[in-house]
Amino acid sequence: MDQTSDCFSVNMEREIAETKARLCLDCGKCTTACPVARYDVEFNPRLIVQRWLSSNGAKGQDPSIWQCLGCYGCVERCNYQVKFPEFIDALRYEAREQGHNAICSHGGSLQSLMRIMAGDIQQDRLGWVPDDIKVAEESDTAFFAGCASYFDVIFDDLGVQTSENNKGALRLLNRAGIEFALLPNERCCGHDLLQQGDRQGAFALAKANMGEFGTRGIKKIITGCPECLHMLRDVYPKITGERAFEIKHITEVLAPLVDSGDLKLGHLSKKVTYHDPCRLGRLAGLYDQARSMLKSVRGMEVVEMEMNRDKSLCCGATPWVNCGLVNRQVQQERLSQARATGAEMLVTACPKCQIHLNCAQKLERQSVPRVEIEDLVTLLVHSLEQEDSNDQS
Amino acid sequence: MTDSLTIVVFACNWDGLSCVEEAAHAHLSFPASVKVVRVSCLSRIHLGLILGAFQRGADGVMLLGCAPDDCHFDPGGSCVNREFTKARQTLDMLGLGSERVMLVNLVRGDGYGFVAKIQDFMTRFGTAPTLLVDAGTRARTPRVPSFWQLRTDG
Ligand code: SF4
Ligand code: SF4
Repeated sequence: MDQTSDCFSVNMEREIAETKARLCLDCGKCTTACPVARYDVEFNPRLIVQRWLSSNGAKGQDPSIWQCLGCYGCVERCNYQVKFPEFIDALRYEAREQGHNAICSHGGSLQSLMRIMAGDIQQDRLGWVPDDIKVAEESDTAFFAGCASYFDVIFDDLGVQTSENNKGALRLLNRAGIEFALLPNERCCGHDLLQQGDRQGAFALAKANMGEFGTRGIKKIITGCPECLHMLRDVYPKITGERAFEIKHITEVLAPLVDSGDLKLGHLSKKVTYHDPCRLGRLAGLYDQARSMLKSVRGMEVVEMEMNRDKSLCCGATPWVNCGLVNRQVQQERLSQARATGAEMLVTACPKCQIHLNCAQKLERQSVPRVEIEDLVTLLVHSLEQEDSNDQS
Repeated sequence: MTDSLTIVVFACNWDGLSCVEEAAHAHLSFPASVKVVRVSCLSRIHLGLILGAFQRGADGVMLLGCAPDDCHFDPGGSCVNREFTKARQTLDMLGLGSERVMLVNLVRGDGYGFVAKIQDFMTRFGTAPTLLVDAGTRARTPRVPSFWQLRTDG
């Protein structure tokens, strides 16, 4: 219980010490790398720290704290490993406790969804699983599907169906002979509540999920979404005090099998470019898995964007708050980089990147580059289908 | 029992609200736990508002508006229909049930129609556990901790 009350008290001195944010006062190096700072002159990591330290009492008033994308681009550049995005999370928590709030995108529907899920509910969320996929009744390995089925409903207008990613992941797991169960009452991982400063909400979701894992005897978890990976693997042990078990992203599970030849991929002639999701790349260090799998598809050419791997540009995502012009500009820049490679398709491994990069293209402006966005595992499954249909003909 | 159910009615400023007013003029009674929120048009309603009502403890949400062809702003009701469908799908997945949201179109000044719809809506929950009331104690126990209910950001 101590741990809980500890994580709910606002102790900015401790947060500053833990994130080492005071070092920013003498630096400012990351401003050149920060995608938000490029488009918003008010936004500057060094100045945010300075403004906070000199604000004496009028805390939580700095509106620029809601602009940070949490992309960890600054951490990558920082010589002192200042955890600036975590300092931002603390500022947001402090601001919320004082009654200041972010502007919720999508009418707050995602926030309400996450908070309802934290309550005592019994969901009916596995309707997306098709009959051809073999799911174990009981297994100590679970596939953590994330909020994809809810995203399908909310982002229907965008024509993005992120459940397709999960179907693809499960089909590949079936092919590889890896047994898994699905969790009928899985909750949102809580990433976006935590990132917008709602620690209590994230904690309640984490507790509910840990309870679900416990009653079902889950020892290993495979996630489809990089944000779920980050929460389950890195954050849950910290906020619940319970040691998490083995947690892997789907690319971490499949790539070794593809490399060893145990999982064969198909054929697809396409020129693609791979977009590193921030949580998968900079946070989990998984850069090669996706690339090596794409290269194992016969006929596929993989080209790199100007900013790639640890220097990759964020998709402009937010925890569903304060989405605005700056986010659009970041997205436009990323789409332009993809266009410049001459690739037919931008491939990513995160449902939220997929949603955000598609959303940016909803703007009917000529200046927004049009690029087809596809999910990694979905594309790998297509390569197999392509091959199967070639075999038949 | 149904009297203790909290129903949020989003009523459009036009025919929708006129039905609620007519019910009052005609001294028709309906439970005090029915909360009416006036909006300029049902096309103002989106999934966020509907889920926001449930997050804050509503047991059911009714969208009350003009007949689709009579709508002042969104003839055909394409906006509200889209959001209504999203809400039904989301509530089903959440396990709360799509019957907790209802779209009602009435002609101007149909107070009796409004009260009948409210009664009909409330009986849908006759056996379903209510979201707010703990059956054991009959005490109002929010299903989500109170700090969320204080928040106004959605
Ligand atoms: S986060 Fe690091 S690089 Fe950026 S201003 Fe602070 S100390 Fe400098
Ligand atoms: S996390 Fe990204 S958006 Fe936020 S300060 Fe760092 S580089 Fe800028």
